[in-house]
Amino acid sequence: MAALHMSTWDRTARVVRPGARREVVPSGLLGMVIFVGTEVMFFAGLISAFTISKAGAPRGAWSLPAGQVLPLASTAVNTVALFASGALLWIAGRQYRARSPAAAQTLLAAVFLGSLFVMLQGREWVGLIGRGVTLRSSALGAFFYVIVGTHAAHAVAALAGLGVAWWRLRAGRLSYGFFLAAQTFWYFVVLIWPVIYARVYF
Amino acid sequence: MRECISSRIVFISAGLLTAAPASALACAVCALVGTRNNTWAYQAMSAMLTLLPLAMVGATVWWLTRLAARADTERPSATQHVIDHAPLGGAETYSAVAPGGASLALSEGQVRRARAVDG
Repeated sequence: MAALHMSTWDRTARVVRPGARREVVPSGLLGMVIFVGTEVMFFAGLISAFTISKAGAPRGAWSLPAGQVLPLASTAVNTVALFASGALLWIAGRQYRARSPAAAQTLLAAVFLGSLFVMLQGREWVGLIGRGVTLRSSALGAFFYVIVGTHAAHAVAALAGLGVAWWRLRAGRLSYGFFLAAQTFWYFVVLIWPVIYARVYF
Repeated sequence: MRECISSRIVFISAGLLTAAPASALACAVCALVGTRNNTWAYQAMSAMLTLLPLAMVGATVWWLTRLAARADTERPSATQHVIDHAPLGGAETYSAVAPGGASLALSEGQVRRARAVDG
């Protein structure tokens, strides 16, 4: 009889009160997580090709033309700016959840540091191109521009997303799902960078 | 018979390649396999590209499962509501009581259909 009661209730619940669909995770965030997964595999493919090519290159052939070296120290400074941007975004997220008015300023600071990273990287590129390091100059140069350039493109896209989030936050129209999606994309950009830096620059 | 031979060929080939893994190494795009360093890089990157998506899919499923379980504990589902069954005046009357106290009467048709399903 208990089974009869439960099944009766279940059917009644469906007929009389259709069960409300519940969202355990915002759709925007879930979509971004899936997208980031594909992007991780994209970068994994690039790094895989880089690693195999580097390991198979003849001795002394894996270098930049005219004895040039990749700018390790200045890129380390850029990396600090990128990590600081990620940390500020994390703080902005906490402030946003706490409905603190300081969230917009913190988010803007995170966008500024992220933009600084991209601009300093661009400055390094200009210097390298001026010294003859181009896509066609060597295999290392080609991999460097493809991998780092792809990361920079992702950084610009993520910064655009964060900029939109900041604009909507100021206007009081920012949804939690959009913020989480933009935050996730930027975390991806921040966290994939040390892997690229360690693999390509050293 | 033909299927049996095909499967034997597959098994024998797999066995040979397992016994002599160098024969299985074939970089389809760079043709650089041959040096010791490159063999190691090829195997390590193959392992990474195999395991990374599995780890990401597994982590995503685990995360979603945890979120769903948390949502379940925070909000009881409809099937957890109390069912009240009491014979009144010689006739069976069925009603369901929601947690808030609101009662929901079940029609005779609904009860009949439930009985038909439950046997």
